[in-house]
Amino acid sequence: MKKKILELLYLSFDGRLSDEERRLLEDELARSPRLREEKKRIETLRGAIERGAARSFRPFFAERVMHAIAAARPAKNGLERFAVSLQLAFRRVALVGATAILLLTIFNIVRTGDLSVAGALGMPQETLVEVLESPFDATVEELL
Amino acid sequence: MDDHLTDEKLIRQAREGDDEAFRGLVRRYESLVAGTVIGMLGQCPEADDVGQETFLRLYRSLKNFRGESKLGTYLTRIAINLSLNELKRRKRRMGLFFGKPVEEIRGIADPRADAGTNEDKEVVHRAIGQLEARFRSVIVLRLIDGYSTEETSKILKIPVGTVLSRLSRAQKKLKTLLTSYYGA
Repeated sequence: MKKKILELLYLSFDGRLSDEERRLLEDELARSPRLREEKKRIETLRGAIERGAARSFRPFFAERVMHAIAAARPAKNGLERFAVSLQLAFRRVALVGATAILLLTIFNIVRTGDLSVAGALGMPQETLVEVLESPFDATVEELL
Repeated sequence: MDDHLTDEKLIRQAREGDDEAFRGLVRRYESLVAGTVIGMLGQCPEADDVGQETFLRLYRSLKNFRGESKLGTYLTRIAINLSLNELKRRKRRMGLFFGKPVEEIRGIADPRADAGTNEDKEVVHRAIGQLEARFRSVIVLRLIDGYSTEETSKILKIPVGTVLSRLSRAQKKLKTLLTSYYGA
């Protein structure tokens, strides 16, 4: 089958043929059983695609859309506005707090040159001897 | 309930804050948007998300919607762009982890393998899923949504000649993929 004729056949479904091309295709269709078969195949294919298309989302789609819109919409009444501003305020406090903790940790590490958790938190490093000589041990001895 | 109202009237009411009017628009255009999005992405949770996002975008742009194009065409344009973005994201994601696009993984390699199940929709979607995004979009707009070649060209912002050549190539590929199933 000629490539050009086949191309015209495909184009004919979208109504894009000139009068001359249409005549050429019609002549060829009248003459060639293979071309008629091909036309039928394309019709079947196009029909299958049109019929096979899904036309709906999962159930309650409109409700989900409206819910998403309600969630995205700025608060309307006073109580909602208060809750949203409270949420925003705490978000800012949390952000400032986290930044402060990070800066303090870096400052402590730089100051003490100690990369341990105690160093980062600025806690004094105690040796084993210091722990054993602590007032708690003395109290235990007295008790014994 | 809103069946007798025109799109313009529903849009005007929705602009004034009438949620029921907007719900009416969603119901009216759900099938059109579903055809586009599911045609592009297949039946998957992301399709539902993209569908919702399409209507959310419409809601946000209600004030600016001047009705220069039909509402259906406007929604289709949003839906097709969001679907193409989702396909790009999928491709990037799958390329990152597996080194090949998702279509090859999700779809079956050969839709003819399912020829005996008689599940037309599934088979057609799998076959469409085998096409590259640029071919898929013309098939969806032209054959599923029923837009003319001129409308398809405007929605995709490509020349009519390109639409026609992509349509022709896509149909040839689909014919090969669906040959034994439809006896095409």
